Amino acid sequence: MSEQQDYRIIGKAIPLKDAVDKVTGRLKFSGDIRVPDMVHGKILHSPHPHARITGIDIRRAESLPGVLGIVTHQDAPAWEWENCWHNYGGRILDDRVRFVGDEVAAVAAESVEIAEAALELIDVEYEILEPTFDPIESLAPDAPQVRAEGNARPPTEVIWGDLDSGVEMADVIVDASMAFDSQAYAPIGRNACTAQWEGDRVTVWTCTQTPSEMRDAIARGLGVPISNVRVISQPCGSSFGLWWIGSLQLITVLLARKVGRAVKIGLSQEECFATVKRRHLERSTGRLGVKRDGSVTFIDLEHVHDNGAYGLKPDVGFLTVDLWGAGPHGRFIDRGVSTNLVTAGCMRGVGDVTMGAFVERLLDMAAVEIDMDPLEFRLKNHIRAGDPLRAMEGETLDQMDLASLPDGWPELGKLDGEALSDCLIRGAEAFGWNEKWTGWGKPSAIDGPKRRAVGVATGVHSCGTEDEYPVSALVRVHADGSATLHVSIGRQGQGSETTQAQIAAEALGIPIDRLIVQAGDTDAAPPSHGAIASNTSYRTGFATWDAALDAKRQILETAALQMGSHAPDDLDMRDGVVFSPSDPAVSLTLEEIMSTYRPDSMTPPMILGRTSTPMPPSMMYARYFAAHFVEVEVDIDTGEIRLLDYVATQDSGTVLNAKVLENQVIGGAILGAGFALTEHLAFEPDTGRILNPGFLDYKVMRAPDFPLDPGVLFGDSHDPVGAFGAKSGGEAPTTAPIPAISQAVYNAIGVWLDIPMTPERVLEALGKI
Amino acid sequence: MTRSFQYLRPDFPREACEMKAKHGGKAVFWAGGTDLMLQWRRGAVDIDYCIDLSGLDELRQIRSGEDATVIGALATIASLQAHESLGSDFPVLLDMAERFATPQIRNVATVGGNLCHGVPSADCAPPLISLDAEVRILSPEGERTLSLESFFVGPKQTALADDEMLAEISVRRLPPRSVCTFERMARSYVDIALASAACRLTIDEESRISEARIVMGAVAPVPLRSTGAEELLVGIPLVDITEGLLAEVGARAASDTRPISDVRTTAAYRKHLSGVLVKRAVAEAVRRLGE
Repeated sequence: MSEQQDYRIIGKAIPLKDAVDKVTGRLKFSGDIRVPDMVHGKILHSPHPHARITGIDIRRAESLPGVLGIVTHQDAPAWEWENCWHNYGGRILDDRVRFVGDEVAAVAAESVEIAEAALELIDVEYEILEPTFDPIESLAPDAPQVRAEGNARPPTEVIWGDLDSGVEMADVIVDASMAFDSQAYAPIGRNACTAQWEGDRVTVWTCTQTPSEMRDAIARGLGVPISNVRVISQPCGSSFGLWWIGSLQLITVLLARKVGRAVKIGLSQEECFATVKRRHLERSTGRLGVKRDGSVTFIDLEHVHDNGAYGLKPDVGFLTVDLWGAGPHGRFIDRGVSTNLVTAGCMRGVGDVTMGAFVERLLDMAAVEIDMDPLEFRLKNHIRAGDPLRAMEGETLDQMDLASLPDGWPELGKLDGEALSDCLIRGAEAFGWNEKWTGWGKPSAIDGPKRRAVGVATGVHSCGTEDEYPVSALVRVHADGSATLHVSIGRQGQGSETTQAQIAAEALGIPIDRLIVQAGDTDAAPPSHGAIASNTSYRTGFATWDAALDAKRQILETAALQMGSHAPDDLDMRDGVVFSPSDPAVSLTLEEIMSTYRPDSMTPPMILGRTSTPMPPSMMYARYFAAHFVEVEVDIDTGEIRLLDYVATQDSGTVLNAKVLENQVIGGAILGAGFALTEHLAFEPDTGRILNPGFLDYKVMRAPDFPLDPGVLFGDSHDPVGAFGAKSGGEAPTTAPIPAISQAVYNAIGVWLDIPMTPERVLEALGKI
Repeated sequence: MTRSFQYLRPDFPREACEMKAKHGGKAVFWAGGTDLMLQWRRGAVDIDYCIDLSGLDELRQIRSGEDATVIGALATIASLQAHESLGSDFPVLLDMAERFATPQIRNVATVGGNLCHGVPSADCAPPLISLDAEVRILSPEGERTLSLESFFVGPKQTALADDEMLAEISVRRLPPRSVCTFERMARSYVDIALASAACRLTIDEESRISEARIVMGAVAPVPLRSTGAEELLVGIPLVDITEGLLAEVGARAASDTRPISDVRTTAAYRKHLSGVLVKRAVAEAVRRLGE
């Protein structure tokens, strides 16, 4: 605590660095980019869910005045590109289409209108193939096969203990199944990509959470060295996992190379909703055993998620296993399956939103049977520091050379710390749980057709993952003592550039307004894992911290050299002033140091801090947690569910910036609550076409749909590895709303529902329609 | 795809009608444009001639007279809220306006546009029909008046001929001891109604219901009046209106509906919901009359 109070910048609710630019319209998004001599592209999408392209005639389109060129599968490399974490696998353009909306061709023209007109002049012959849409039916061996690899991914399985023993130990066993519709990313801003080739070098302006990964994919796909690709990531309104690497960017780059002009392709709202990615359709079945004292004896869960046309995910993550793995026996299986629906991929809180909600449902059903308060039940069973991370046991851990880990790193395979009990207990106080909880299946108030009740639930997510990419950052200190942090992260409104600036400025010892963040120009920033899987504040933050400390070390060494009287160890820097704790006479500003010649080089100093410490594999020890409390009111005549009160608590370690984290927590809660109640993509039964590809009929929660003043509390914890003790922020808050609301609805009306819990589903469950 | 069109801007209502008469089905009137823009961008409507009505200031007015209030077809939803006496004369219109889309849309969308779009979910229709509103329609040859109830012909179809335009909506001052209520339900705060219901009740000096109007939105090809449900109420003393009668009225109204299933909800849900909303609208009107 005392250490905390010494921070100049960490923990301060500093306003977002780009807030003023955003609200005044000065911030440039990907759609705002214009480069000289630029032309416009549009994409032709497949009207069929599954077909082979047997002929494609572009002559009529090419002859339209103003058309500069067209790319089809004949122009695309045979290479199959892969998105991060198996979110896509396929050619840039293929001779086979796998969902309504799949890309068939792209046109570059002098204007958007000409490009659109040209799309209608492309003559495509299709050989129609039988499609498959239902996730379970698509698993059958005789189902139409969407991909050469077959529909079914190899199952991912986590097993610990012995299920039969768990069954034998149990006093009560509950079983259930649960279905989840597909949630849309529902991006508030659209994306665009502008690509400009100069010789065999290409520059790409687009919104992406993963600039480094995109750079590498473009290089590999287009057959140029990585050094020849520059990705300049633009801010976007929201992403939630939508904008990683995409067909949009690869097609734009391909088209620009073919026509020899800079090309910009902007996506419409419909294209953003219906042709990129969505959350998986998921189905859970399982059972859980408890003893009368409330201890879990086993969990046995089978999960299926559809990957759509191009996703290849074998599993949606097993972090829920970790959270509820304290029981001695368990088995979790997840199967990924291809369908002729738009690609499904990692959306904010992937797996933990869905599988997590299902496990919480099993917990609740068991707690009903033994009549135990859901708060007490969770306090009794959730993972504690030092407990094994079940999902990490086995192969991955075995591959590691544990002896090579530096001293002081957490023990791998075990949770390094948590404040979940603290969150649950303090959240319950703030919410008034004990006053509002009236027992299972009992509304706390009845007013005509309206039933009120409360619910509590928890959730978990990764603090980033080590897979696929390291993290790194650079800190340049300039001659006037200002500094630039170069870091490869996307800017999707999550406030990362502000929190990364706070970490860098605090570690370096300069005022925050003396540091700017250059986030996402791959020619300037070192390669680093993108802003996905809750990487940024934890793993990127670690890299930024390490780089800033490296710069500071160089500054203090330089100052010592310049002074000749003090050892670097005897110096420190704060607020941009180098001082000596042992000698009050020492006071040198950073600007003075940077403008004083070094005695050994007879030049001013050069300070370039870089990440040099590889971050340990955080999947092996770090998690962050959420616990949410909700009061609902269900109208049993209309089926409407309203949220009356909400308290969200979160264990994110040290809070870097309460404003940024509060935004993440409330935004996450609203996204989760939206999926719980209203958000779902509607697929046309015969074609899989998305029927609600826009905000008109895809209903995200508006501000008045969520309690206006939700309580937000942070658990008291400090991670041993993260920068200044911080963990992650943005995804765990999406995981607790579904189970909390679902439990409250059960208490109000006595039924368990699939997701989303629409008014129709409420009334159907009550037998009213 | 987006195509170009001819842009026309009349200075007088008659000129607008003449333009429409000349270009017929290939021409559209542009009022607020909040629906039209979406349809045009989606390719759901072809526009060859766009007749921008923004120059017709006289049709933007709301005039309160002795006997009636006249709402110009180009009056925005926000202007209903801002008007000095409309809210006190017809509180239901204020209530409806406050729940209409968002402030940004209310600033642009017009009452006439909402009605002329002809969708059964139009929020303006049920309350105005329950108030026995009439519409004044202009054409190059002259004008005609008809009840708003008969203005709606089918989904996105109105009684307007190719050369006609809606000029005004007129609402007569309500008889004393009248109350009008409006219920709507949607998937989220900002949404098209899944179903809606307006109820107007007038009682006589003995507190018996002398007139009833029950109008539902989004549950039939047109905004739907249930005279069957109305008849169950007429002649009943306020004090005799029981929970059972309210349920019967709701059920009767629901049985008149012919809803569709679409991406927003199912026909079964709409039918059920319409009964609930009618019951609530009537109950609220009865409650207020009893105050």
